[in-house]
Amino acid sequence: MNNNVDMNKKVKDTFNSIESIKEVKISPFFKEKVMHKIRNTSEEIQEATWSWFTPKVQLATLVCIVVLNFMAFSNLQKSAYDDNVNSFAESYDLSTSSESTLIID
Amino acid sequence: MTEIEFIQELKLKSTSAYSKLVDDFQQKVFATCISFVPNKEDAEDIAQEVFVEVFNSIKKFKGDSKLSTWIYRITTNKCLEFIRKKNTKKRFAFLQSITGNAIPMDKTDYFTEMNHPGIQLENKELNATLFKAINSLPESQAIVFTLHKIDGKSYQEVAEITKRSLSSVESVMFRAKKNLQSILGNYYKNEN
Repeated sequence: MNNNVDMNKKVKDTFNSIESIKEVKISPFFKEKVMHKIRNTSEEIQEATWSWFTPKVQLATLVCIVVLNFMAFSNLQKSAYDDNVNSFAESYDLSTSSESTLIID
Repeated sequence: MTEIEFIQELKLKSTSAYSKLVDDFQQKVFATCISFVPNKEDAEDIAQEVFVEVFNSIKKFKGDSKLSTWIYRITTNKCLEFIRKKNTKKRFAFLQSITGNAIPMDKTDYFTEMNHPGIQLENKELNATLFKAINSLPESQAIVFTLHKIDGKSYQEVAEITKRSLSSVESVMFRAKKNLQSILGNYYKNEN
């Protein structure tokens, strides 16, 4: 009987011990640590966005751009030369176009 | 600034918004963490993870609940994740000790070393027993009991965090108290 009363008291005391727990203040450097972690996470995300753009891909892209530029430049020069020759021939009636052949016929 | 505007700022990853968020919530989040995990260092680590998770997941926040409720939900989940992981490790260490590949085991079977600066010396033993008893409750009961009795949240807040109805929270709380009484009763009976 006494044992039961004693046990119930212990259980009750254990429950009541919750009330005695005091609030614990967070460490003063907590905010600094969190903001540092957030900044790091943000940088990791940015790095992850460009992670596929490896040095090999970067070099291949550079080569593609140079080749494309070279082709475009040489094309441009060729067509400009042809245009100049045509306009010169037309202005001195040196051109032999299919139109004039039709007129002769 | 309204809550909607503040959430918008958070979604834009504004540093000043996060600075304000940490100012407003650090103590509350930490209080919840140390209620679940009575170890100051562990609780601070979990609280840090909570804010990083908020930063990473804010885009998924649809505004169905209050921002604070959402943050407490993340906090509760992070604490449970930590406890589950530690409990599994303890079980694994116990199995290893049986099979002979002994890893030195802690004196207690509790998932962490008790280091709660808010616990008074004269109540240290009682509080330790209570925390251990809570750890052996079913998870849903342990959540409701911890949030209400240790963290001091109202039934309404607990209901919002756990996405339960008020009556459901009351009934889970009733069962938790009853189970705790029987766990503690058995504990003291075996002790004698």
